[in-house]
Amino acid sequence: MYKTSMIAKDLVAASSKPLVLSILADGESYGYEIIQKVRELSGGQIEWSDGMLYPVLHRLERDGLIDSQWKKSETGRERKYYSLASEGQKTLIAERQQWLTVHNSLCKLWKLKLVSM
Amino acid sequence: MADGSQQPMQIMETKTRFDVTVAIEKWRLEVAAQPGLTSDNQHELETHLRESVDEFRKRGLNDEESFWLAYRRVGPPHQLSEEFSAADPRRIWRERAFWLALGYFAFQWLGLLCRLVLRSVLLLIPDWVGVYAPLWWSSFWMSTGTSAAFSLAVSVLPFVFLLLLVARGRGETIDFAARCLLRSRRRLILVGTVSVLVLNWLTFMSLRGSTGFALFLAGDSTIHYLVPLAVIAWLMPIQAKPSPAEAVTNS
Repeated sequence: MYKTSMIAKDLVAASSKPLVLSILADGESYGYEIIQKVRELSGGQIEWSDGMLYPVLHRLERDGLIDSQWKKSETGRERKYYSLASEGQKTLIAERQQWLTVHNSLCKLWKLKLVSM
Repeated sequence: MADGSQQPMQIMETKTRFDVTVAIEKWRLEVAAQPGLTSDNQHELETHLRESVDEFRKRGLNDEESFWLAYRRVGPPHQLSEEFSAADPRRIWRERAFWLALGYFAFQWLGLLCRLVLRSVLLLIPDWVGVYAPLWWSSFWMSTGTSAAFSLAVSVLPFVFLLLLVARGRGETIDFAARCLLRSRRRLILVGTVSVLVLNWLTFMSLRGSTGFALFLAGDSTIHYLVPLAVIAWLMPIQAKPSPAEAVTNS
């Protein structure tokens, strides 16, 4: 019963990019916090294996969409913080458009309220 | 509340004592042995594991439960390696090329060192030993075939021995040496170049007259040692800051 409500693997993978970019648009963050946030936002339905996030983050960094920096946190622990690069900001706008287009198309079919783009 | 949760934990701990620091260290070594993970990746994953462990502890779980739950969430090391490699397959080939070049350099360097040691030992044998040695003995050593075979054995066998040590999992010392040496590109180039020049210079001195100084610089050291060294430094995975000897915060 729990399994059926979980988001399919392909969709989880595809949505990881806009999710990460959107979270970082609110300010810099680190891997653990990003995962916690996604879990919280989706009510636990988007279950990322923790190790999966890092290759995603590193690919986004290689593509120049985000930047990273090792910093000491307030607890004294060193963490790699990620922040949105200006290129990432542009990509996020484009991603947003695309996801909302898909969303609105489905909403029309399901006769649900549309989201303004 | 704190007392209530502490007591059963203490009872359990007396049965089998679970040490999170040891468990994390074991996990770290396992991750370090995986291909396709740079030390920066490893450091990042380790930080993540520690955050997870702390989070579970805060929720009142004991050390062992916290560790295993965090371990499951992060994923088993071999799977991490696969996921990281799939995201960047070029890197795994680059890493392989790096170890190949490092192996070539180690082979050359070890051969140079062993030949030098052998030559020094032979030079220590006083001349009169030769006078008293039987004729067949000295003629055996003087023959080109013997000396060529001997020189080859001295160059090859130590390297084979090194490979056997690594293959049989006895590589802790080698691993430690490699870790120190490969901390940064600058250190690798500095230590590598200096050691090669010193070894080559000593070899050159022991053979004084038989080769020209220009040949020593232009030939041997540059082609066989310094060029591979430059390639290794270029291929070297970017290293993270020193691995943290981070104590697990008891919260």
